[in-house]
Order: sequence, then C-alpha cells, then structure tokens
Amino acid sequence: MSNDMNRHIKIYRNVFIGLLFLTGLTVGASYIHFDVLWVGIALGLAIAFVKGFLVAANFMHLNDEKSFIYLTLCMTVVFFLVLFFMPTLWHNDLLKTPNHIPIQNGEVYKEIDHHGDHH
Amino acid sequence: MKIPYNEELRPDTGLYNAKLGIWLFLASEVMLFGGLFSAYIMLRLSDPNWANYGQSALNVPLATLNTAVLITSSVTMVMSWVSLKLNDLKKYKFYMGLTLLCSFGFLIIKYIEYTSKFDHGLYPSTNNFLAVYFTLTGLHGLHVIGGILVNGYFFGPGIKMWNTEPERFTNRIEVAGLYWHFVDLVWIFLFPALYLL
Repeated sequence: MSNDMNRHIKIYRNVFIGLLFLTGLTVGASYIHFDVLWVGIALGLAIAFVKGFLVAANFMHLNDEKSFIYLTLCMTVVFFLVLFFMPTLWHNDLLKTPNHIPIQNGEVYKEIDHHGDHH
Repeated sequence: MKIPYNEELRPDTGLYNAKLGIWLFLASEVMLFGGLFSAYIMLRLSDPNWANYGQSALNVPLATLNTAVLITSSVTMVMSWVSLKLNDLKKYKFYMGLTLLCSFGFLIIKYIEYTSKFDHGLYPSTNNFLAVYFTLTGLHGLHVIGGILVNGYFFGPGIKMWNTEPERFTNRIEVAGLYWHFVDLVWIFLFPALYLL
C-alpha cells in the first residue's frame, strides 16, 4: 500500500508541474497572432483538453476505473455532443425547419415563411 | 441499521454507493455546464458585434493566478485522500486546510475581478459577452462555495468519523475530491474560453 501510494504521490507531483506549464503555455499561445482566427482557438482548446485529460485521468483516477463508470461517462459524452451541436444545427438550419407546424387534429397550426414573415 | 455498500463494493457495479452516486451527479453537471457552453458558442457565432464587447477588458493575469490556485487546490485535495490511505490524519488536516485556503483564495480573487467590473459599469446586462461571463463564472463560483461547505465539514465536525469508521471517511474524502476535481476541470475550460480566445 505504502509503495503504491508513494508512486501515486510522484505522479500527482508531475501532473501538477505539467498543469502549471500548460497553463503558462495557454496564456503564451493567446498572445500569438494567427492569420486564421480558428487556429488560435483550436490551439487554446487543444491545450485545455490535454489539461482536462491530465486531471480526469490522474486526480479523478479515470485511468484505472470500473467499467460501470466508463459506461456512464460514454453516455454522458453522447448526450453532451447532442446538446452541444443541436443549437449549431438549428442555427444553420441543418435540421430543416418544416414549412408548417401541423398540430391540433392534423390542421395546419402555423405556416412558416422562411423569409421572415409569419402568417 | 447499517447502510449497505458504504465501504464494501457492490458486486454488480464494483463500486461503493457514494462513488456511483457522485459520478452520476457529475454526469448531470456536465450537461448543465455543457448547455451553457453551447449557448456561449451560439451567441458568439451569431453576434456580429462580439468583438466590441470588451473581452480584452478581462484581467488575464488575475485569472491565470486563479487557475494556478485552483490547480494547487486539486493537488492538495488528492493529497489529503492519499494521507488518509497512509493512515496519517495529521497530514490529512494539513492538506485539507491548504485546499480550503486555496478555495477561499480563488473566491477572493474572483471578488476582486467582479468588483473591478462593477466599478467600471460593466454588468451582466451590459452586453452578451458579459452576460455569458457572469453566468458561467458565477455558476462556477457557486460550485466552489459548495465545495468549501463540504470540505469545511470534513475538516471540522465531520472528521470525527475517522475514529469510528476510517474506511468510510476515506471514501467520503475520495468522493468530495472527485467533485472538487470536476470544479477544477470546468475552470480549465472556462479560463481560455472566456479570457483568452
């Protein structure tokens, strides 16, 4: 137990140093001017994901956890992605807004004019 | 009556009950923050005036310091659990005390940031960016306060359990730690999303 815990302590120390280094890197990268805005955003988020992975895998022990937890988290990721991208799909009308909303005994409740005027 | 699976593992899940409970709770928390992150992206992409909302007025050095403080508190939190695993209550108190100090430090820095915004007439109602900023950091701050209450209890009156049920108390600290690391995890994404990008 003691040896195992000493190994853990060493890992936690290294992760701590890594997290502080990556925090500095995130701030430093934000001062770099990229010609394409998305490159800077992608870089910042990529570093954040690495930091998140370090915390989840080591401090939250997800690198050695029971399958039940992994299953729960997989479902969470799926629902999270749906939640995350649904507004974007709606915003770009990729879900295809119908031309009318049929409710109330099958009658057309509301016609939708895609140019902005609702009847 | 003794509540089952507080210490021993359930045969079907391989977990003690509180650990399963906290992971389900954290899953719901992912959805809560995920919804708000999604709203943030939506507002940012659809608002042509976003660049004029004064994101650059945010105090990056203070937020960087706050990030370091929260990361430190995550390490001290996990070290308090390790100390209990090594049967060292004195070290547990030391690390848990440090975790609480860092937590209060985070809130104090946040308070300085907030008052600075208010002094300059910047409120959640000022524009879309500040609405998102105050909502996300405010909700995160509430989670920090929740963590302080729980950790404060385990630092104070709750520590008595160590004398009667040491393994159960160690499990409680592990569960409280999982919550606290999640709070750290959320900030790791909030920091670049709100201050830097």
